[in-house]
Amino acid sequence: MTKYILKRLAMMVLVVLGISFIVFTIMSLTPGNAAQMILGQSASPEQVAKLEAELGLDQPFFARFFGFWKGVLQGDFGKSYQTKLPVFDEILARFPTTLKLSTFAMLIATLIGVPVGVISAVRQYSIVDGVSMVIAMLFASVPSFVMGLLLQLEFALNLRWLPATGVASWQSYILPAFTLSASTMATLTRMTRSTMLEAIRQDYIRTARAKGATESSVVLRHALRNALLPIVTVIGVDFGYLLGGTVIIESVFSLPGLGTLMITSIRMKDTPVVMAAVMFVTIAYSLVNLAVDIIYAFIDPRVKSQYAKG
Amino acid sequence: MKKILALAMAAVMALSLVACGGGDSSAASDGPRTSLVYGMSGEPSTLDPMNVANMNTFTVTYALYDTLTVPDGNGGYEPFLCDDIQVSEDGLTYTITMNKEVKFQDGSLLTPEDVVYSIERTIAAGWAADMTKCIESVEATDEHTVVLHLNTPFGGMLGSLASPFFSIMSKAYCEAHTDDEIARAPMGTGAYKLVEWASGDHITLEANEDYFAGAPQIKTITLRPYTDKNTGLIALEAGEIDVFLNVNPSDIPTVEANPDLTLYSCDAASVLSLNMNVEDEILSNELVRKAIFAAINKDDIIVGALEGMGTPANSPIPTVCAGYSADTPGSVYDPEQAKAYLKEAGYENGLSLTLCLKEDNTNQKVAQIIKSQLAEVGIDVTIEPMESGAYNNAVYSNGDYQMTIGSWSAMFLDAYSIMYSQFHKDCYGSTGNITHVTTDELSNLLDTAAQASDDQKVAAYDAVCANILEHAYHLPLVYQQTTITTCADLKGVEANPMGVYMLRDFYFE
Repeated sequence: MTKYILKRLAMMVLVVLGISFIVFTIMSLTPGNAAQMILGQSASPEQVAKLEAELGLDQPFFARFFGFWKGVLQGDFGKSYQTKLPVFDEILARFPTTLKLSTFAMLIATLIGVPVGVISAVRQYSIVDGVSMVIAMLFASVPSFVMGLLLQLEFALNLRWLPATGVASWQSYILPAFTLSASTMATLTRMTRSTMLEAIRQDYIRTARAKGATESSVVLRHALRNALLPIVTVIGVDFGYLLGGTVIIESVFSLPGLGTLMITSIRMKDTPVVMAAVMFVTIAYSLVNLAVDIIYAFIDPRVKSQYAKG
Repeated sequence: MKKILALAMAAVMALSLVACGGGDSSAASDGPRTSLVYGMSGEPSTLDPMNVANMNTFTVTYALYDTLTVPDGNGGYEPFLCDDIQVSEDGLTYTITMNKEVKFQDGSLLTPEDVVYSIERTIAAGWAADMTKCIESVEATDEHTVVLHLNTPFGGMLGSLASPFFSIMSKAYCEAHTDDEIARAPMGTGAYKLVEWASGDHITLEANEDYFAGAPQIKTITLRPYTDKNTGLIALEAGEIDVFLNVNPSDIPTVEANPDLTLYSCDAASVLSLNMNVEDEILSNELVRKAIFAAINKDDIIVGALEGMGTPANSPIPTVCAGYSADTPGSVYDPEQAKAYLKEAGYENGLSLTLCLKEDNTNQKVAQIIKSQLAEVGIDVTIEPMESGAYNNAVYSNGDYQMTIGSWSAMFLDAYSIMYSQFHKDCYGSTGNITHVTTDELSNLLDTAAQASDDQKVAAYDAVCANILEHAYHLPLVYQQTTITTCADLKGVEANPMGVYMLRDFYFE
């Protein structure tokens, strides 16, 4: 098991390296110039050249890329071109908002999606099943910014129950987290329903019923436990989607997270900030996926025995 | 069983525990309101007034720093940090008598040395080169006097002194701190002090109780960035912010119908225009440019793209800038004439042009209307939207484009601020003259206009505009409005053409 985890962590380093190279290349290849963006349209070519030299933008591509990594290995992500603040501090200030938002969204999606999926499967073709499948379809297809605006209009403007924007209190997270969770919730519900339906038709369920197990025991202990593996996979994969999805949600709800930071930094060609932000998200995503893979072992003894081998 | 489910979520939960700090809720206090939340369209990258070119930031720096002059409300300027400014007859010497009572926020007195230091810092920073290049030298002649020597008369000098670039800073403070520190921890004479800057979330200002012009009534101002205009409007309607600038034109009727909100508007210090690259093979032909001028109907653009908000522009000068005249003749819509010009130019079978623009909903709609209007006279237009970095490269740095539309703004309310850099040969290319017109005739007219005194200014700029229209260099399209929407009980608000506001003038009833 430890060996497996170490192997995964080593792979994570490669993934981060690869992603940093891709992002750095994209930032270098897209037209536009950080110095020009900072100085504005009316800056003279001399001013731009001077600032480029100050920022090290006059160096060749690989010199800049390796320079960046040299800094990172020494624990220094560099300074933002725009604000001149250390990038690491900026990211640390923003990351908690994003992490809270996506974790909260994941919790909502799981706590609603999985039970609803189970009920829909057990009561297949009932009203509950029909209604929840229609809602799931709706949640999966409405774009998040539309849903965000609609929720803001209803719950913040009409009913005045919840704040529409900002992060002044924990209530501020409810609307954005719900909006963010909607599509994952829908995926989870449908996924749970179909894997549960499959599990319920298995022979061992009939056996369990035959030996007189209670219905709740049959559903939760025998069916759900077997159906859980794909569900956990979806949770892990979707967590990455949620981390990325915050980019839109943060902008709609005006939250000071990594997403808004990334958007402004990409627009301003602020490469150090974009690099660090993307690397943070990559690492968070990889760690969650690693955690999910470890959880497999606890759910499924077959997987655990495989870890032991390899 | 439950244990398993719980385990499945363990990783997720653990992460949330690490991340969850206590949410601090700030409750509104009772009694008369003394705190204001101001919604900005974006976060400032720095609060150093001499190192920014972002209008957003200027509202904040004006709260922290003061200037030597301020607009007097009648198109002129009056002394502010000083008691008096005397201009010599030849217009080359400005003698500034300082106010002896002004203190910086750290308690030190404002001295002429600080003024000299600040102006020299502005010149060195280079951001306001078009305002500072006429300054020969600046010196403190005695304890209360600063003398500004110009190398050429400059009609916009008093206006320049009111611009944020000429904010007065403390010499001692600036010398004791690095530029990066000054950018994050500003210290001036202003009506407000910076208390907190939480990156990406808010900037908090607190009233300076010792302010020389009297402490402001609003004691705490929180400035929050709202990059999405729909979100800004919702926050405004929900009472989460008290002020928001430039709501979408389509939302203006909603705002006006809301009794809790007040909308103020005025002409913006900018002109939405169509620029042409006169060095382009096709557009170097004056007849083609004249044909384009005659083919465009400005009223259609206002109705079709701008929700009826705006007036047809007759001059490249914004209406609110000194030097503007309503009598300046503009282009005349005449499609038949346009076809005649094209025929004369040898393009009776039509031609193709590219119109590039910074991606933006409004610009895009304007471009589509121009495309259809030009199609009617036989010009086929390809619209090419670009991300701002790419746009700056193509239009400013490389100058490799045919036509572009955009809103060009004045940095202070004088025609000089928008005209010189756009059309003078010295500003060719990336410094503003994207039309690439380099005739001595136009440059000389601009030089004359720059030196013109107030009573000659209109006539001087009329000559400039006539030259631009005659050669069809640049087509001003629409004067747009700028708006500020506030909660109804906020007073002391007056729409500002540049969208820059004096927070010290705001108060609650």
